[in-house]
Amino acid sequence: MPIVKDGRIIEDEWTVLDGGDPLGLASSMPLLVTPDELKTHATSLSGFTRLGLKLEPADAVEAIAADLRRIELVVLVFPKFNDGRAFSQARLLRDRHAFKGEIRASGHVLIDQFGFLQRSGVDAVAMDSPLSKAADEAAIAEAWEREVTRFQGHYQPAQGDLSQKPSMGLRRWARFPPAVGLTAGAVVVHEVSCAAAWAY
Amino acid sequence: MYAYDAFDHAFVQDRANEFREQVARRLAGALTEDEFKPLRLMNGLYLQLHAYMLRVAIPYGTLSADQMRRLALIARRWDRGYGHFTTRQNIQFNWPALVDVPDILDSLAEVEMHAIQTSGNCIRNVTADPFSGAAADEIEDSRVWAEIIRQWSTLHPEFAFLPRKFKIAVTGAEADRTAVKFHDIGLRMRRNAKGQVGFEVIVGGGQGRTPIVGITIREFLPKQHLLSYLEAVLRTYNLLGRRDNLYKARIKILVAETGAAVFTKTVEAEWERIHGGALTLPQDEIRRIEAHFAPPLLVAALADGGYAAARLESPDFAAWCRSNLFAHRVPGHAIVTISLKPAGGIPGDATAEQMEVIANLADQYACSEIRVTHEQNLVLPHVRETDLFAVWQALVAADLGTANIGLISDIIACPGLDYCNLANARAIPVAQRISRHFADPALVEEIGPITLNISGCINACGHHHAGHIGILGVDKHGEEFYQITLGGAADDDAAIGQILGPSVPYDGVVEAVDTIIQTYRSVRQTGERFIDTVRRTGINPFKEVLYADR
Repeated sequence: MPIVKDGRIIEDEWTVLDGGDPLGLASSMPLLVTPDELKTHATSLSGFTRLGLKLEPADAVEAIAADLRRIELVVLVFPKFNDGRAFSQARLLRDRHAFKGEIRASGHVLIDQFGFLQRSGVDAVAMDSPLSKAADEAAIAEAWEREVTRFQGHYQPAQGDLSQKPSMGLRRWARFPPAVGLTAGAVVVHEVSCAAAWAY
Repeated sequence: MYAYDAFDHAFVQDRANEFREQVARRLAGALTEDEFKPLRLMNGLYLQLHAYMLRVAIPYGTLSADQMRRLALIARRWDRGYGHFTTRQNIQFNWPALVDVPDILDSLAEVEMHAIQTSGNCIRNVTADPFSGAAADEIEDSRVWAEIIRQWSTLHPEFAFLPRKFKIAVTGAEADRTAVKFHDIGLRMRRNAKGQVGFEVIVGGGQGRTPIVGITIREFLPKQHLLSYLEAVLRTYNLLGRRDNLYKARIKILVAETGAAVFTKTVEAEWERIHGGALTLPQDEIRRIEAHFAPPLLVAALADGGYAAARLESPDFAAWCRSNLFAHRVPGHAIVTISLKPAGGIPGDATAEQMEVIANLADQYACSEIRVTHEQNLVLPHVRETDLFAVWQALVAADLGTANIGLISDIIACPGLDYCNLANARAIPVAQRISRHFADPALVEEIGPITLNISGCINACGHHHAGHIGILGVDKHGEEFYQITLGGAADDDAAIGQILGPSVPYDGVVEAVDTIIQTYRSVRQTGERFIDTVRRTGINPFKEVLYADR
């Protein structure tokens, strides 16, 4: 299934182990495993050069933190679009554990969530909504790009390179995409006074 | 008041444009209703029994006169000439057409308003003390912090799809006027031993089908760490809150199931790892927001002779002054609460004309400021005593002069089965009957301070659990029945009401309330408030009388 990554359509090169045995697989094969499989097949997987990890929403990022240095891809799962645990998982992966590889949101993802995903540190999506039909992949890529510049600024620091430009001066916890020239500095706080001229 | 800068203006307009696209996709069939739902909800748009309902955010219940005029315009142009002020200090329009909603949002954006996060499973519009910046008992202005939270929480990427909705209240006064212990997070400004001001953090309060009074997880949080601490609580909740059962998804259930100690430890551990980072509030940034809320330049005045004379001459004015005024921090001024609870009226409803009257009064007499209370009334926060009589006369002329704040006819009620698709029973007509029954101002004043709250279903939007008298509509084999509770309270001594006995039919509610009040009048001690009597005697005396013949 094609993937949209950073707004471009790419082929999915990853093989899902899916309960199988890695013994006998070429160790150069990009292999996607679960945290359990990573533990169970620790020895045979140690030779693999390209490993991906699929985290369910209930999987604690903390528990796989030590493995992240040899992981190239983390797939996060949306069983339903309104299960937002993946947003926190993504932020923990990026912010706390400095994970530099690909974070891919999979499952029931809506294009309207792209902005939130980008700002949480997700850089790729594999959607299984009706929109993911081949004809619509270009539309998904386009939607992803559109979200990058949807807002000229954001009210809070979050994850994702695109939104990590801190504003200078006022409103210091806001973030701006680098392409946008809007500055928060040009603000005048008006004297607050009463309209009524009261004489005593 | 907070005034938008270029950043805020651009943001709200970008958001309105985004929703315009989403509505177009929905109308074209490119989005299913199921997929459109979370998007419209994050823009305050509900689908109710008969029509869409748009809930507009009034951040921490603060409105300018111009904003109020715009709400009147919206009510007239796109709705049926009225709006409904809610217990979240917001306003709801009950009859907008979906195609018009993008235009309404544009119109709101022009006056620095929006409907962002007034619904959906996200951080909702933050509430605060409606008397902020005016009350004599204030430690610090809670609006400053509510505004900072509004900004931080607006389209927060991590917390847009929480297990369930999330409500935050901030209070900065000695007396709590925000029901702070009935929120997912309640923030209460405190002064520590060193005289510094910070927050007591209360978590896990809420109403609904499992009413719980929030618990304090931190006695004192230094102000500059407010946002990082909120982020720690929210992240803990987002990752660990239940998602398998809609009714067990609020943070109160997580706190209860985890245990307060373990929950607190988890939050503190998370906070340990993020505090001191990007979310630390710089002093000058706090000051910048504070400057927006600088108090108006009021000149202290001696007691006004004309005002005292008017009270003597007009008993009605005097009664209104007794119930609807609150002490202002500047001598010679008062905080005026405008009752939206006339006898037989719909609690919280105001017509476009009434909104305009209030806007004009605010301009003329109250520094152009208006507040919304969680009891569904409106407030003119800064009125000179000299002007009170004129304000009162203008209010009376607009059917806004009811003297009943904090009294039995000042009823909180949800929209109930008249509008809401969740409701089991009507709430509005019950409120109307009760307020008609208790229409005599002398009687109402004699009964004294009391809260009476009505919800049309177990979701408790009418705060029945927290009412001194609580009334909950239930459905019994297709008939409306009402369960009555006594002893709830939303203030400093927050408590959940106790069920009195079997529910009463629709036609028996007024009589039941009347019986409770008669009982109170016969057993109370001199000067004892209703709630104090209930606390002293327990519910039994009331139960015995109410169910004597059954």
